[in-house]
Order: sequence, then C-alpha cells, then structure tokens
Amino acid sequence: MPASPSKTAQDQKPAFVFKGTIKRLKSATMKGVPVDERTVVVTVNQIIEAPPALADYNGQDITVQLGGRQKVRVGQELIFHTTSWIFGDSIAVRSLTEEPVTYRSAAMLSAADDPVERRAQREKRDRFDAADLVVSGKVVAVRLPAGTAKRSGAASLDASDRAPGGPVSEHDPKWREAVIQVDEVHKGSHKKKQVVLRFPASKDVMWYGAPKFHPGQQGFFMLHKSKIEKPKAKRGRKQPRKGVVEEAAVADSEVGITEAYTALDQTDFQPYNEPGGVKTIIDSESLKPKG
Amino acid sequence: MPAKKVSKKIATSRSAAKRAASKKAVKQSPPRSSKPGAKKTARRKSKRTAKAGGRVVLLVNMIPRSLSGEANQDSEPTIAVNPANPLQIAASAFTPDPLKGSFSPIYISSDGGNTWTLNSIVPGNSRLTGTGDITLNFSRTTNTLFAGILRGDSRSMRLNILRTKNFAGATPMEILVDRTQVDQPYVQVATVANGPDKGKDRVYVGNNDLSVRGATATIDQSLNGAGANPTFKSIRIESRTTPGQDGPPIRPSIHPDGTAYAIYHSWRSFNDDTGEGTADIVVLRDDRGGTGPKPFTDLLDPIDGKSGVRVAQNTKFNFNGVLGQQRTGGDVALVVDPTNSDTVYVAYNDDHGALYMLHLLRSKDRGRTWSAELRTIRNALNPALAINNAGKVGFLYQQLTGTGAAQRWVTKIELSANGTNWNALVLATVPADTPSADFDPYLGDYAHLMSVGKDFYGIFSANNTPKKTNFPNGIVYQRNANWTTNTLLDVDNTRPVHVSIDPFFLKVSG
Repeated sequence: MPASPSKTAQDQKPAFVFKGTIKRLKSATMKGVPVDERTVVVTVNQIIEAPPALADYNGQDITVQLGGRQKVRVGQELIFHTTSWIFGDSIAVRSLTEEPVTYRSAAMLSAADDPVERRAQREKRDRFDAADLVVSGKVVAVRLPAGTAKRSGAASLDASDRAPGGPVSEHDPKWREAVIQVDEVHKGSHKKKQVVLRFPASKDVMWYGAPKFHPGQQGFFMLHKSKIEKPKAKRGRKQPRKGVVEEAAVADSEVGITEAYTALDQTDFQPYNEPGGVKTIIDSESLKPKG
Repeated sequence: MPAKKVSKKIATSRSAAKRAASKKAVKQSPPRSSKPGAKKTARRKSKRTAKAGGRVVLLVNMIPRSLSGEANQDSEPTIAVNPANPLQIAASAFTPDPLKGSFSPIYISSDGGNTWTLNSIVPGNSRLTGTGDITLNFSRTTNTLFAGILRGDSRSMRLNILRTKNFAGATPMEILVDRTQVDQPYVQVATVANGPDKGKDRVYVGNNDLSVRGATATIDQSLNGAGANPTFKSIRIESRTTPGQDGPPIRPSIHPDGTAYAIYHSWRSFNDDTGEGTADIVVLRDDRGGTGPKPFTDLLDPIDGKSGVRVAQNTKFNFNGVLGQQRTGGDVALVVDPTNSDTVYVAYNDDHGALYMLHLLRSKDRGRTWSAELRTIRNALNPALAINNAGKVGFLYQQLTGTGAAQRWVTKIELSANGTNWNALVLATVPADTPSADFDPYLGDYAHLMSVGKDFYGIFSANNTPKKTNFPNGIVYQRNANWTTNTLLDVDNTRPVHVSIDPFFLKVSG
C-alpha cells in the first residue's frame, strides 16, 4: 500500500549555514554531481552553523544546489541554509533557502561563537524545548521494569525485558529503569522526590548513543514522555495459515503501549561537571521574566 | 563539467571527545606524511587492480576523501549493481549522514566501483548510525533502485520499502510501504522477460514480521514495483509450528525465467533464558514468481509433506552468541544459477559446541534433494553467494582465525566452476580485537555478493588499518592514509585518525 508522500528536502532543517560568494554557475567542484542550472560553486566566506565534518571549510569552494527560484549571479554574496547531498573528493550540499546579507543578519554573522558549538547548543535547546520534564539529580538505583521475564540463575540485569513468550529480535531494547533522586525541577511539574526513567541496555545499533545509566551518576536529565511499544504475549493464538496473502498495512502491529519517561538522545543527560549545554539553557530560562 | 579538486581541512568524527581520544591514541607515532612533501605518497598508494590466480581483483575502501576524518563503525554492508549498466553501483552500510540531516546516505559509483561518493537520499537518518537494516537491488531494465530499510529515526523496527529512478540525484527515495515491528528486510528484484507482464519489475522483500505471531517469516511482494502506485502483499511462508516466531534472515533469490526461491531460518525451539534454540533450514520455491493463489508452495518436504524442503533439521543456534566481537544467531544465504533454474546453492550457519560452522550445499533438481556438504568452514559467518553467467559460483564469507590477541577476521571469496574444486582468494586479513565495537553488529549481520555477466561484485566491512599485508590481493583507498606508517589521515593529510570499521567494495573477474 502506498504510504504518505515522501518527505521532501523542504521539510528539513538546515545543517550547514554559511555566508558565501557565488563563484561559478552551472558548475560543480567534483565529478559525479549532476549539474543543472541551479548547481553552482560557492566559496565559503564565513561559517555560521556547522557539524564537525564541515567545521574547517572557511575559504573552501564547495558545490551548492540552489533551492529557491531566485536568480543568482557570479560574485553575489548570500547566506545559504543547506543540508546534505554528495560527499566525494569534495562536497555538495542542497540549499533549502538563500537570503541576502542584510543589516538584520549582521548580528548573526558577527557573533564570535564556534559554529560547531552553536549548532550543538541549538540541538540541546531543541531537546530541552521538547522535554516534558527536566530535572537535576542522582541515579540511586537501576532495575528491571516490573513484569518482565527474568532469566533463571542469571544476574537480574542480564535478563530479557520481553513479555513472556513475546517475540525476539536482535533489536530488543532490553529496557531498564533508572530511579533518579531529584535535586531540582527545571522544567515541567514533578512533586515527588524521585522520578523513574526507562533506558535501553541493548548494545544493538538501534539503541546506539542512548545514555546507559548506573547508580551514582549525577547531572541534568531531559526526560521525554514516550510511548514504548511492547509486543504482547499471544501464546495460543493461531498462526497465520501458510501461503495466506495479506495486504501490507501501515503500522499494523499488535503491540502493547506503555507510557514512560525516557532519555534516548545522547544529549538528554549531562553530568554536573560538564560545562555549558543544559546549564546555560537553564540559566537563561531563569533570567526570563516570569508570567 | 569542470571539476576542481579542493584542499580541505575538515575534521569528521562521531564526537569531539572521541576525536580527541583518537588523536591522543595515534599521536604517539606521528606519520611521516605530516612532513612537507609527503602528500603525494599519502593516498592511492596501491595499484588499482591486482591479478590473483589469473583473475583481476579490485578492492576499494569506499570512504570518500572528504570524509577522511570519520571513525564510524560502518558495518552491515550491502551492494546493488545495475544490470542495465554495471558502471552504476549503489551500496550501503551503517554510515550516518555527515551533516546529521534527515536522510541517510547510500554509497554510489558511476564508474564500476573504482570511485565512490555518498548521496543522502534514504529517509530516516540516525545522527550516529544512519539508516537501520538496509538492502538494495536494481531493476534489471528500468534503472530503478529499490531498498528495504528499517528507518534509523525509529525505534519501532519501522520498515520502509523505497525506490528511486535516479539513485545519483538529489531527490529522496520514494516510500512505498511503511509499517512497524519488522526485521531484516532483504530486497530482490526480477524483471519479467516474457508474456503479458513483460517489463514489469517484481519486487520481493524477505522480512521477519514480528507484528504477527508464529509464522513470522514473510515475503512482501509487488508484481509491478516500478508502476505508478505499486501494491505490496505480505506472504506468510512458514508452514510449520514455531516457538512463536522464525529467525531474522529470510532471503529470496529470483531466476530470470520467473522461478523464485527463498531460504529462511525456521525456528523449532527457543529458550528465552539462554538464547539457545534449534532451527530447520528451509528452502521454498515458486515456479511462477509468486503470482499464483498459493505463493511459494511448489516445493514440498518429502518427509512431512509440508511446503518448504528442510535442507537441515534441528540446527543449533544461540541468539546471544558471539564470534570475536561479532554477534551470531544463524545466517542463511541462497542463490539460483542464472544459467539453469534447477541449480541452487545454499549456505547456513549453526553451532557445534564452541564452533560456529558454515555449511555450503547444492541442489540440482530445483531444491528437492541436496548434496553432501560442498564446503564446511569453522568459525565463519556472513555467507554471501552469487553465480555468474558461466555458471561459476562465488562464495564470500568472513572467518575468525587464530587465538587470543592474534585473532584475525579473514574475508575470503572462493570460486568454483563445478562446486567441487574451489579456489580461494584472501581479500582482507585484519586484527579482530581492534577497534572495539561501538555497537552490535560489529561487522554486520550480513555481507553481500552478486554477479552481473561474468563478474562478481561484493561488499564487506572490516578494520581499515592501511597496511598492505592486510590486503594481500591489493587495495585502493579513497580516504587519506600513510601506507608507510600504517596510519589513517584526516582531510588535511596530516592529522592522524583512529582505526575504525569501513565498507570495502570488491570486484573479481569470473
């Protein structure tokens, strides 16, 4: 069954923002880039926001596939808001929007922030804004979620988290619960002294980067209410007949849903001894006028 | 089109902290290329191709030069060569989008695999690992590239079946199917050669559909995948009682005459406490490409009379098992001879005590009866099979050799014209204990091999230390490296970069 229309480039957020000068029209900096009338070579003059991969591209020529219908000319200076395209001997990026360098953009361009740090801080800000609860505190216990299968004779934290008889996959999260003793609530509402979050103990690629918690960890926790899909145990249900043909459906899984706090992004936990990041956001929030 | 090479000073890595650690680790032995004048020798040191046993071998590290600073675990690779134009090749691995955007990259080559770039067109990027499980395959005639993926931005095993008519273009791949609780999509495409459906692309996506219970082994099938609004149907292929599900790998292979085969790991028992279980290795066949009312039921087991011949019964596996740093759990592979749809080869793994054994067998009668073992290999996994247009068989696998700190992952391709006499080529022999695994799977739950014409094309992932003796049949690196000090170098051709897991492309003449 055809699904919803594909996500287009226009739905994306820019990953690499820079001021640049158009050097050549209908041209590219490497072979293999399909060149059309919207493909241009741009000299990067000033990076405003970038991932580490492009941090040192100041002064370099790169290929840009222009996004809008705006006519451009050689020598024109613009601010490009771009995302990924092709990486080879050189790089090519897709421009989502281009804007002229104006008085309004001067402040952004004159800021002395590290472009990589600026982007990292924006990502943390996005996670902070999306979080349902932000607390500081200490992990005082790690345990299996209630009702999960325990392996006989095994250490409890090696146990499966599946419902008895539930399906097995190499992508199983192996959910655990971390009990956090709350020092302070920085966002959201939570009146108890402790809060419980679920985290994946799995080493599988699907869960790579998700913080793994252990007792004694102290810091800031950005918690998100998540619906955790948990396949139901359905022993005894008759299995589909061999050769039976079914229409492929969108999200047609029979799963149980549990709502729990999670912290699945690598930025969702920040130790106390790490500077900046969430600390800066919390400080800036506290300075905002109330009401 | 003018193409100007630019000198870059970028630095790519998973995180600033990891990069700092990498530099620290490698800094103890500064590379000679940090001296002026050393750049000329720093990359592409090796000859582009080598001759081994009369065959031309091309082996390429696929990481582009502009990403020389990366240290990702680029594991679980797959490859698709365009049969209509073998210069066009697409490939994949757990490689994140370098800009951490919304789309994951595929590797693309337009010169037969000599050079590679990344093109971020796969929906659902994980910022750290790119897409989830992914396989690729081209239409035989329409240049359409199909993909089966688990989206990297979902934790619900979210299957997408995708396609694009321009795999080198900027437009993201089109989503044809979207549902959750599915594992290991494995896509194969066959183009109908004759009859009223001539020219239509039949798309088969083997997968383990865990949204159902019992008969989870599934093939999602479209009889017109390149059409305007292709419909996919889920065919449940398990005919026997399972302990609740089948194993992850379900692998179809399609002959141009329409004969469709599939192999899967049909679970008989599973112990949730230990991860141990038993499985039958089952082969299915459909003589009409799955178009009839009871698809994939043309091959009956001679003992129990059920659909699917049990090539091996009650093989042992451990879903929590490991070989070196690579997890195990039961691999399977199947290929049908393009010159004769009666001939089929299968490979599978099972546990024999502490050994993880790889077995290779053949049927010459459309899967009804099977040979004794043609090859039995200790501690080897990720089997991949292909047969060229002369009926020659290629058998790719990765074997753990040695003990303790001397353990190595040895990637080999064996070739045979008759299934009896085999010639092996060592493609890579690399340390097994470095780098440490960031996540599972370390090398991947599969590698891949296919043929177009007489040539074999494949892909595997391995430790990327630039050392000639690690690649005894030759190697080409795109990323910067100093072959004298055996050091990877950043895009500035000076700063050392830590060793990691990279995808390697191979082409071997048949």
